[in-house]
Amino acid sequence: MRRVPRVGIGGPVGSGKSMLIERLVPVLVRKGYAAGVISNDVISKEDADRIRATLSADCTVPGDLVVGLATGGCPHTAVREDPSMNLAAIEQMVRDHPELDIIIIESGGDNITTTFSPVLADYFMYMIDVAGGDKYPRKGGLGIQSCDLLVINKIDLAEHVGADLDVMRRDAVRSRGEKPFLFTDCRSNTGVDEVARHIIRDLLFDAPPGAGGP
Amino acid sequence: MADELLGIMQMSDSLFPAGMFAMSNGIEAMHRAGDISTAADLETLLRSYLAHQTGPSDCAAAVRAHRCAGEGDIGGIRDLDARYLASKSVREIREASVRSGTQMLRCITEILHDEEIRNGRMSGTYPVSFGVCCQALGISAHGTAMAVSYGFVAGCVGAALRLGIIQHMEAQGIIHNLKPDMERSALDGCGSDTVWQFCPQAEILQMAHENQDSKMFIT
Repeated sequence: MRRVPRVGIGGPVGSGKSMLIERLVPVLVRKGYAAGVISNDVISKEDADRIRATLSADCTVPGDLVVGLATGGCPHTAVREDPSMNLAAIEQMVRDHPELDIIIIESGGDNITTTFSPVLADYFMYMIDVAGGDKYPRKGGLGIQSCDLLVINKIDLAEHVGADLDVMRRDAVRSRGEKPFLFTDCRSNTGVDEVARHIIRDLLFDAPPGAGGP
Repeated sequence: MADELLGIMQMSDSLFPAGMFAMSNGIEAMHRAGDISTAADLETLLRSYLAHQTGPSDCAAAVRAHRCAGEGDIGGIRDLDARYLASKSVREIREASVRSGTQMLRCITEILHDEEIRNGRMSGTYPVSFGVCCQALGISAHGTAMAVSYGFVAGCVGAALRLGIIQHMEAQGIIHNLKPDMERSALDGCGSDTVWQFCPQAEILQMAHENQDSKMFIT
């Protein structure tokens, strides 16, 4: 079975990972890429149900291409130490949909050391939001430091919560060196196209849709 | 001897990547229903599970799979796998058992029956896969059953810890108290010619748990 390229998205609860997926997938689909989503959740399948409802409402993605996994309170384990549940879900998804170009795996949890096993994800995005405080990029942590793309979301709230975007920009550069980061406001689609461009360039290597073939 | 001991430790370690950390074996559902709220409740439940499910079903299936693998009896493993799967009435238990068992086989590379599973001729349920892997690692039938028994208890206790039913010291106390029951469960499995279980109350609660919107564990 061929390996469909996989993006892992980690980050604190409420940072906007599900919203990013809901906005990102339609961009990828409009460009012709077939996408599937796996959502690991600490307590429920609510995120998966919401993403499924959003993406299937306009037929962007068939319902069976959004899968929710209950992780026994250990979402980090499910994407790093023991990714077997996710690997099995991916295998089933690719078996049912060999046309897939990309699979997005979401995992939440308030743990800045979250990372994805390279066996599970080929490209790792870590998402924080300004409402969590402008200290986040400075605090570092494996997730923020090692991810392929750091996404700082909800920039529209910065002035309301006293977060200084210049400080976050400076600290992101300090903790990540030359590795990229983006400011987004997913609710208004700000920066979402740029996230898609990074994924298509750095994960898919600008391959056209269907290049992997079923 | 050292190889076998280390093999047992490896196979029963929660670090082994088979996804078992996402199972509570009905404990989450029972806790929500108010049936389990103390360490004593949990210990009583696990004692009952060991006697009526883990020993006669999981240990027995693992030991028989271990024996079939030793004899090269692939048909026997396939038959056992199908029977074990059919004995599990809770859908999410069946699916999780197959998922974990298959991943376990993948992890223990070059296992003789892996192709059977890839081709869809076998489900690869957890205890059957466990028995096959233990045979491949040179673990005895008794060691296999002990690892199944311990792994079950440790998994349940870990789930109860995360659910907040018990605290860390109580967790170790329960495991210690249940050692004779784990041994008995393993011996039951070793001496059994059949695979059976009887825990209808737990199964009914788990069936209801499958359909709950908000939950931490698969089941």
